[in-house]
Amino acid sequence: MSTIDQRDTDDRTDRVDGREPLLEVTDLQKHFPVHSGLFASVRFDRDSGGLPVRFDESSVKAVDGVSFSVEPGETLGVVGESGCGKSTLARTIVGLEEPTAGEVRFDGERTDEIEESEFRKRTQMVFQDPQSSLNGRRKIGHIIEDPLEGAGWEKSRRQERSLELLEQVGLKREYYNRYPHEFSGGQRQRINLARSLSINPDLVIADEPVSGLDVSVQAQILNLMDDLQEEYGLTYLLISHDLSVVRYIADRVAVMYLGEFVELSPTEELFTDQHHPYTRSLLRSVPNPDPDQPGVQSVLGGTVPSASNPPRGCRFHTRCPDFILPDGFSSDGYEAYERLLDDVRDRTIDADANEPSAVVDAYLGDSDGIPTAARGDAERAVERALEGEWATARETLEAHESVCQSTAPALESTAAGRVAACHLEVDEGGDSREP
Amino acid sequence: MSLLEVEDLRTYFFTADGIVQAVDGVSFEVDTGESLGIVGESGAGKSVAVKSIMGLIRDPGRVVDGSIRFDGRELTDLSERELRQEIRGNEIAIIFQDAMSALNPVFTVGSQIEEVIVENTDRSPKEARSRAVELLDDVGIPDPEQRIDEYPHQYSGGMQQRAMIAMALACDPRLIIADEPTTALDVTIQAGILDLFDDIQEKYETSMVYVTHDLGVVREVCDRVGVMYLGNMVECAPYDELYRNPKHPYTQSLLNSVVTPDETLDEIDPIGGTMPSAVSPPSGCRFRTRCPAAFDDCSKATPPSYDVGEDDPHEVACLLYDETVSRAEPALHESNTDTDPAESGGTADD
Repeated sequence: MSTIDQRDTDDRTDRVDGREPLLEVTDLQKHFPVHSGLFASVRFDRDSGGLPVRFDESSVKAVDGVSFSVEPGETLGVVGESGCGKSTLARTIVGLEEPTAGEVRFDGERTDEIEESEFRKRTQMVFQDPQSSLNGRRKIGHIIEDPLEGAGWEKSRRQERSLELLEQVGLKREYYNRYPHEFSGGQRQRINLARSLSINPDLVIADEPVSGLDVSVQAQILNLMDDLQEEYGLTYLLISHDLSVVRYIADRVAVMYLGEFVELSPTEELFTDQHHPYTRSLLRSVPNPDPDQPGVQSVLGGTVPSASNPPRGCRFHTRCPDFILPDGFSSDGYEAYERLLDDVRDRTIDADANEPSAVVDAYLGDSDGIPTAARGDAERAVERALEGEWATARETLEAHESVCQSTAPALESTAAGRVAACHLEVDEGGDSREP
Repeated sequence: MSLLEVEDLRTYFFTADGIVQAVDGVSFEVDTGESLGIVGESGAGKSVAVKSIMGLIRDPGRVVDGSIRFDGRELTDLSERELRQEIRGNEIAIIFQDAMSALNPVFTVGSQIEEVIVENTDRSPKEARSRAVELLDDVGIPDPEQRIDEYPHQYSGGMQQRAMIAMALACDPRLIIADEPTTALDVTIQAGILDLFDDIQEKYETSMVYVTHDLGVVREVCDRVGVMYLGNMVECAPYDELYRNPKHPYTQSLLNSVVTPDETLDEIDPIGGTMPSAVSPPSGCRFRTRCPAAFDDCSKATPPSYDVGEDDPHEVACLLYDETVSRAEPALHESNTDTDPAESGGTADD
């Protein structure tokens, strides 16, 4: 029963020597169906060949192909706006959600093949809300002991360990018999940390552990997490919306947007030089209290698009301040061209108009920001469209689309230990174009 | 005379556990066109202070003492009815953190704004509608003519907050009170709203009291800032002056604990412990239990405010700045209590 300590210590030594990643995530996906249930997804569809019904299979792609690895003793921060999928990522890694595709390897083994109790012993999660993640009817000493009880520790040893942990997280041994409501938010998060450490895990996944706490308390908890990491040789995966928090504690940072990583970089480098326009915009949005530093710049228009129907190509292109215009287009010209393309896609071009050139003029006008080739193709496309060949029309127009819309950029190396997914960065043989 | 003068405000809550002295002797002023930030940790009494101005304190709370003068008129003497008809909405508007709960889900955004306009001004319903479109346009809602007829749930979080701001502006208030209006929003959305506050102040010349826990936000929208701790205003100064030259030990610790994107772990020195309960606050200076520079006299009486500013007023409520009090020289800049977690976790419950 109590061989855990022995085994853990052995494992840890092996790993540090071997330098294998503790956590390895490969192409992880988690999609949630928009409609669940037997009939909820049935749609009427008169155009279908057989029965006039079809199934709505759309899904929210909360995590859509994420790969990374975390070294033992390292802290990896994952940042992103709300709805980007960072919490789902954490929950899928620990097994609270079943992945749609991809695999998670822990210490070299696939997590779905490791015995569950074994994996749970070595991976613990700390949640955001210290209020609701502690059972209000139980003494905190017992709450801290829970994972140990699951691991089969005897009562007296459990209590001993619990008292020891209380001290380690900066609380008093006398608090053992108190209830969660007697503690402040910061203290409750300390209790959560004590509980997650009780079983002596290797990996702690913390989902927004300090949001909702006051700044001074935040700093205390982050300091404590740092101390505990040193003491226990912990590996952290830290999920946060707050770039400052990540800066403070992470060794490397991944920036997530609409279910994908757009940039992954050592922390210092990320904060001094961003290789993805999204990261840059995010950083410029953080208010800095220092009047000598630049103020907030609101560079991102619009809102995060829906994850059930993410934009084509680069998912960030709809809000990107550095959107790449196709050669020869002005931004007004391209906007007009896109309106035409959108209407061709939606099949909403006025079919009464018989003269293709008249239609093209109505959309593109006489703006000069449109290359002749594109204008010619537009006329051909409208001709096709008026004949009802919508697909050909669309393809003709898409030939002049921006690379940001036509091709999804892959995460590619931009510097030593850094990757970013942006056409600007990998364009022209790694010759990065500064915006 | 300032537009808003709050003097020695005391708002208490009479609960079964005792009297919570949420705001205890707070004074500040806001000039026409000026924006005052109020910062502090949760429980400092920031929200209670501004809600007291609006007369929004409900049982078991009560403004027990002090004066709130708006344009020379004493608000504490007004009845609920007078407040509602003459002050709230048309003279002073308030914007809350949670826009969704402040907007009525069963009416369109437009009808809610129009209602405010018709109630508080002499515009006809038709004029009210065109004014509402104009306001939505001002706060940056795209296609206001269409979106005016949508319901709040059709708006994103950032747009709901913008709609709230449009509603607050609906009858040209002279003072806007904003209570953590961007706290629940993502930073990219927040950046847009902060820009908007700047534009509004320029266009409408409205005064503002902006409550937040985030000093970075204060820097963006406020001219002056007051720092609250456990129901007291401990320091008040122009923002840049306060940031560069903080006088009160609490302000100094607060500035040291702020995590910003250009600081790393080693550069932050959080203040130890947690704020004591407002039911039985420490005697004398309320910060003395956590203050690195505390000395004997600190426990005797609430410290008065001293003006230590050179050009503009810079008020600080701390005996360190009283030249008549003798004390051992405190080592202020090595400040900050022991950050040993064993020390910091325990204080609140003992």
